Amino acid sequence: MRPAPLRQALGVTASLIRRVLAPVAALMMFVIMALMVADVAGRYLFNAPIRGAYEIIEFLMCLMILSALPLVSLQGRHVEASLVADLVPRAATLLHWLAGLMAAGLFALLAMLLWNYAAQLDRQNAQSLFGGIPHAPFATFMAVLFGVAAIAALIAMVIRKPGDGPAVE
Amino acid sequence: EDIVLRYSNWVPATHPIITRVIEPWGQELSEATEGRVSVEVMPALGPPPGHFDLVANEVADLAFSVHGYTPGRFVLTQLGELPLTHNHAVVNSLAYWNTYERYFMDANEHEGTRLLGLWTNGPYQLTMNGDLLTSMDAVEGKRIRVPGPVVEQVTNTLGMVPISSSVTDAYEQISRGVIDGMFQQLETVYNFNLTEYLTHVSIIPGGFAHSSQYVVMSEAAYERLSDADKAALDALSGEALVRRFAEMWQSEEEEAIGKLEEGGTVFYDLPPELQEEVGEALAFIRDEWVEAANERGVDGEAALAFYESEIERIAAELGVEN
Amino acid sequence: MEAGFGLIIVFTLIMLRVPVGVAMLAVGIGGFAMLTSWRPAAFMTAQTAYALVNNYGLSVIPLFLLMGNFINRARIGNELYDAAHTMVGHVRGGLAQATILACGGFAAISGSSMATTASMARVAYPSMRRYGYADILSAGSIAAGGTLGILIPPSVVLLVYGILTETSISKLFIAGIVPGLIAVGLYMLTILVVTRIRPAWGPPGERASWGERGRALAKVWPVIALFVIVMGGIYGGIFTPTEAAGIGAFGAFLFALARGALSWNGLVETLVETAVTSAMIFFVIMGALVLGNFLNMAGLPRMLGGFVRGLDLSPFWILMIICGIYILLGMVLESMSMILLTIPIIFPVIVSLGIDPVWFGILIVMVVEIALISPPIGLNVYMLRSVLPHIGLRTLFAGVLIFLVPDILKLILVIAFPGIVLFLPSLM
Ligand code: NA
Ligand code: NA
Repeated sequence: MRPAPLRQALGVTASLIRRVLAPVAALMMFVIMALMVADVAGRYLFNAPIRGAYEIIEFLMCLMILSALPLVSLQGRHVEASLVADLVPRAATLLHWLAGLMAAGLFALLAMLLWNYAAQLDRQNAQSLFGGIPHAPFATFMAVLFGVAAIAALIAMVIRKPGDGPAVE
Repeated sequence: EDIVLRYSNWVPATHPIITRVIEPWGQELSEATEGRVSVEVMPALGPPPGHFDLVANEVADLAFSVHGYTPGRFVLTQLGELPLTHNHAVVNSLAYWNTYERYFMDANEHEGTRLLGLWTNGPYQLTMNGDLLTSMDAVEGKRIRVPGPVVEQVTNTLGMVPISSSVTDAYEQISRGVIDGMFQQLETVYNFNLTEYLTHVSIIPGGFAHSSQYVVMSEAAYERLSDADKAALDALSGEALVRRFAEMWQSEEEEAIGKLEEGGTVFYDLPPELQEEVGEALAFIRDEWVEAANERGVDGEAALAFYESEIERIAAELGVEN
Repeated sequence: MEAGFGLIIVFTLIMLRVPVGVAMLAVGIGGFAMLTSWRPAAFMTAQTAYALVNNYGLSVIPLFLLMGNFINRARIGNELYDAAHTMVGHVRGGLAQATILACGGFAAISGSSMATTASMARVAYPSMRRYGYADILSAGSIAAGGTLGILIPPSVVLLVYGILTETSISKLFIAGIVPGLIAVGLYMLTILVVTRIRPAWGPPGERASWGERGRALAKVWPVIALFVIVMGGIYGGIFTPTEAAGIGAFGAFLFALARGALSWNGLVETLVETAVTSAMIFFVIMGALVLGNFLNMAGLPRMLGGFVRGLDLSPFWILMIICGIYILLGMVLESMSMILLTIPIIFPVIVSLGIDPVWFGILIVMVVEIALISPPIGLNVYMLRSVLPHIGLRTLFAGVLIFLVPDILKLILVIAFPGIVLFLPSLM
């Protein structure tokens, strides 16, 4: 058995991640829907679509998808096959750790790549087409959230059991 | 060892950009370097607006793109996008390139890459489903797809409602009447089979706006070439490449206009008084550009004057009217 | 060469239960760096990731998922099943027939096969059990009916296909309608045949009066209304698919609210659930795009094109081979990763053969439907198992095997008569 205090600390971290990110993702999802409806309604009913709705939705998508990404790991929802794990049950634990470490390492790498990309966008003063909204802060947001996803993947590796399948609804 | 330059292509593989410019250009480069340097056209390695950065970061060695795709990045090249310049792509493009070389080169807006050329295609004209710009308020309230800020300014000035959507969405939107028209090159109207929906074209000499385009090469790829091969590439770049693109666009445009006329598209040339009215209403776009250019440390006024005089000179030289 | 190695590593990692997105990204980034150098690989990955999530058009995925999730929350499954039951419950195998009909109805507002399966399993299975239906028939009809979720529009698989290949999503959706109806018909026919041979598997229920039928149908009008608004809006060109998804989600939200099925917590849960599913899908798409760039850089599209031309086969046989590969892959891969892994490789070949991308999209969905229920990895079957844990996997797969017959029949029909798929979109 792993020492209980560690698991407890990880559990607390996991629920903290969940409590911060889930509401953000939910809110973004709702606003995307509402904005889309308002834009279409504005266009047909008042001949006045919402200016820049197009690119506001783009940025909201970024916020929503990245906020939800760490939760995918925490809920064990990544798309995966399980052939070998099913055929060779004894390998399941080993494979569970392999997958967890690879996922965490990859998210950490993505965090770094997006961080550098954000710096580049910032130098170039890259902006959205209509509102002139700068791109760099959103790339930075992605970098940070990929970092959180790396932590979430590590936590999930420790606190989820190898046999846990994806928790489908 | 032979060098293969990777050209990342985001337009359809059968587009004239590829078949009429890039492929023959690559062929000539290969011949001029006795096969040491060739160009390979690859399926896109990134989204269309990302192609400048793809080259700057050495993902691809060569790419074509459009300045308007990356707002905030290029200011001086908005000169090429200004309304009411010249209809003829070659005239417009050569004048634009000359102005760029003389006034903008030092500002180095394509930093991190090697600019092989920039130009414009045919002018944006107002193409609509059944409507014509017969007076300043004739198209008020009509929904128009806008690809970028300059066209948005034009749209607002004419009292229309700008709808921002992707090109693919726009084709669907026009066929379903979600939008009433677009500012387009006539080449696009014909080649993308939009004649059924974009039935009426209002034409102003020099266009309502332009799209400014370029080809860049990665510095690292250029440095890999031997001096002789560099010279061969240089000879095919700059004005030579600008001319190629401009001539291709001009002939596409003329071909399309012929086909559209045959097919019954209604063409309406704005009468002189209306041209003047529109010109006055759109003058602020030029003023804003001059101001922005000055902020970048370029004499905007002088550059614009030079551009216009070059247009006049080259138009006279080629004997083409606006 | 590099491409082949890369694909083998991806496949091995996936078999070792590394998440599909992680496997594709790791190999994509690594392979790209080997072919070029680190800086281009790093930039390409970051740019691809950024452009993918900052995308207006792709909001179509979360919005259609949201619509289905609101509908699910509203527990319309019961009413759908009741309505179908009153119509066909009295014929032989009638409850299984009703299951198929109700699945078709649910599929018309949900883009996911899993959601369709899960929600119908909860409703239809207890009822069939009460009437003494054989588990093999109940399970088979639910799992097979569930696959309708991705053929009848809206469909997440068609969305992903359309996005990857830049094929019109409107046309793909409209193209799915007739094959979807044919699938419903063939499944029902299969049940008729099976219960003729084994009457004990599916005894008929009671006949409902026309009054009962009317009342039951009246309760499902919101489903019909939503389908008509969303698909009619797309067909008539009033909305783009993205906008239709937003309108559909909003309609489903109002509907769930009106039914009192949406508490504050329920609303938040639904939104979070949708966001998480979307993030999961986006992450796999990210992997597919980065891996695709590596394969592109390695020259795979060119080599594969040359290879196919070298085979000197007619497009028909090439298609047969592609279908065969898909069915084999479907035995070990789950649908989303299968589409994402293969489409970037195979689609250029399809285009070069002059095959209609809309038609091919529908064909692929039908093959994926088969994959969803084929052993050893049939996601719908696993889904069913998690809802109905007491039914053995063997029984589940046996039940499903019966429905592979109509699936293959439908495949043959669509290949023989492409008009089934292409007629409706040609009118748009
Ligand atoms: Na569906
Ligand atoms: Na399968």
